[in-house]
Amino acid sequence: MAIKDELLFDFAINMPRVLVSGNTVILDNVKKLVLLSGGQIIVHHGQRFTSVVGKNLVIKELKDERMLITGDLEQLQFYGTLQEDKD
Amino acid sequence: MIWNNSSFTEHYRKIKIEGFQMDRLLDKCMKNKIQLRQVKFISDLEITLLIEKRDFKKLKKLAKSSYKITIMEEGGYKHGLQRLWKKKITLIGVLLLGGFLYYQSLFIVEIQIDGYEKINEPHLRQTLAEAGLYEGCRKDVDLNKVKIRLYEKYDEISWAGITFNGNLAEVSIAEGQKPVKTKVEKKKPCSIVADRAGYIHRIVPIEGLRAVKDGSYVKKGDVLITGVVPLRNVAYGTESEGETETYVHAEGTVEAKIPERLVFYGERYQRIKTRTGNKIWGLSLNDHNSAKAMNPYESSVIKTKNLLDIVRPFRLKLDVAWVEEVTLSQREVKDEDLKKTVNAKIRQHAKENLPENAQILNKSLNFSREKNIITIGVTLETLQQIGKEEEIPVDKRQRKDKKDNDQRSD
Repeated sequence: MAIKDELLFDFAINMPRVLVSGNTVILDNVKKLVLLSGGQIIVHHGQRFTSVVGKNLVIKELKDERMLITGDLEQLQFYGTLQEDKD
Repeated sequence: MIWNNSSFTEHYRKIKIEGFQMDRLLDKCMKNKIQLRQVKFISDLEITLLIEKRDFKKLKKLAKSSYKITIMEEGGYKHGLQRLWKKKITLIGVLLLGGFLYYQSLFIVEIQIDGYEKINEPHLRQTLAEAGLYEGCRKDVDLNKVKIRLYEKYDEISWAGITFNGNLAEVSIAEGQKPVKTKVEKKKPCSIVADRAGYIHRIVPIEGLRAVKDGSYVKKGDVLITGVVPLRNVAYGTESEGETETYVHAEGTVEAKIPERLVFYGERYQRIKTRTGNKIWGLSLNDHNSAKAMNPYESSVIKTKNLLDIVRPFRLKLDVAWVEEVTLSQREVKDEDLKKTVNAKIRQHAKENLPENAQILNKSLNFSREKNIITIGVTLETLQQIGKEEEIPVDKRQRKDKKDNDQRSD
C-alpha cells in the first residue's frame, strides 16, 4: 500500500473501518446507531453505513466509537445515502 | 478520553431495559461516553446489558421515564466487599477460622519415624518427647538438641534428620553397626580375663592354666585363665633350648559372685480414694476439658473416653469427660506389700541389666522409714560368667627367627 493510501486509511474518520475474525466483528468510527436487534445491527459512520446480519448478535462492548459484536455472522454490507435523501 | 477498564471489575450492574427505540438510547449512551458491555437483545422491546455503577445514574437521566430499567444483579470486588461488610458475623467467623487454622499450623500434630530397624519405635518416640519433640508441641523446638539427644541415647544411630512438612514432623534415622566384640581366633593365643569385678566362685579351665584361686576377689581385666603355659624344653643344643613357656588358646568357664547394691523408694502411706457417687459430665476438645474447668468437688478423679481423634487437616481430639467426687484416706503400707513391689522391681532390674545366664543367689532387703518415704536398700548377690578372651600379643618376627634357627640346627 502506498503512503498516500495509508494516510487516507488512517485519517478516514467518517468511513467504515471493519475487522472481521471468525464470529467477531469490530466496527470503528461508529457515529450513530441506526438499528439494533438480535438479527441485524446497522451503524452510521458519517459518510457510509455498515450492516451486520446474523443470528444471536451480542454487542460485547460499546465504547469510544468502537463496537465489538459477536454472534453467528451471515452478511456484512456497506452502503451510502442517495443524493435525493441528502437533499 | 481514557477509559477506565478497572471500574467494571470494581462495581458493575446487570440491568434490563424495556421500551421502544432502543437504538436511540444506546446511541445517546455512546455520545455521552457511557461504556456498555454484553448488550443482548431479548426482544425488540427488551435488552440486557452491563454498566458501571457510576454510569448507571447518567443512563437513568438519559432514559427519563420513556424506559423501564430494572437492576438484575450486581458484581465486582467492591460490591463483594460491601456485601461482606454487611455480614459482620460471617466475616468474624471467617477471620476466626483463619486464625484457628494459623494457630493449628504452629504445632506438630504427627510424628513419622522412618529408617529404624533394631530400635523400638515407642522408645524412639519417648526419647524425642524427652528432648521436646512430641505430638502437640510447638514447631520452634530446637532440632539440634533433639538430634544430640538421639545420638546420646542410641549408639546404633549414625545419622538423624528431622524435617517439618506442614504439621507433620518427619524423623529419618540411619542405623549403623553396633561395635561387636569379636572372639579371638581359635589359632591365636589368648587368656581369659575378667570383664567385671567379682569374687571367683568356680573356674573350669579346658585349656590354659587357672591364674586365681576360688574365693579371691578380681578386678576388671585380671587374668583368670592364662594362655602362657610353662614348657619343659628337651630340645638340647638348639637355640630354643632356653625357652621356658609356650602360648595356647585358653578356654574355660569362670563364674563369679558379684554383689550389687540397689536403692528403691516407696511411699510410706497409701492414699485410698473412695467414690461418693457424685459426678459431672462434660466434653474435652483438644485436651481443653470443660468438666475439669467446672469441677466443684474438693477432691475428684477425672476420666475421659475418646470419641474422635484426627490429625488432618488439623488436630481435633474430642473426648467425653467426667469428674467423679472421691473422699481421700490413707493407711500405712505394710512391709509385705512393699516386699512384693520391690521383688517385682528387682526382677525388672535383672531382666534389663543382668546377662541371661546370671542367677540371683541371695538378696537382702533393708527398710528404713522416714517421714513419708520408705527407703529400701537391696543387696543382691548374683552368679555371673565373667570370663572373656583377650589375645596375648606375641612378637611374630621373634617367633619366626626362632623357627628358622630350629630348622637350620636340624
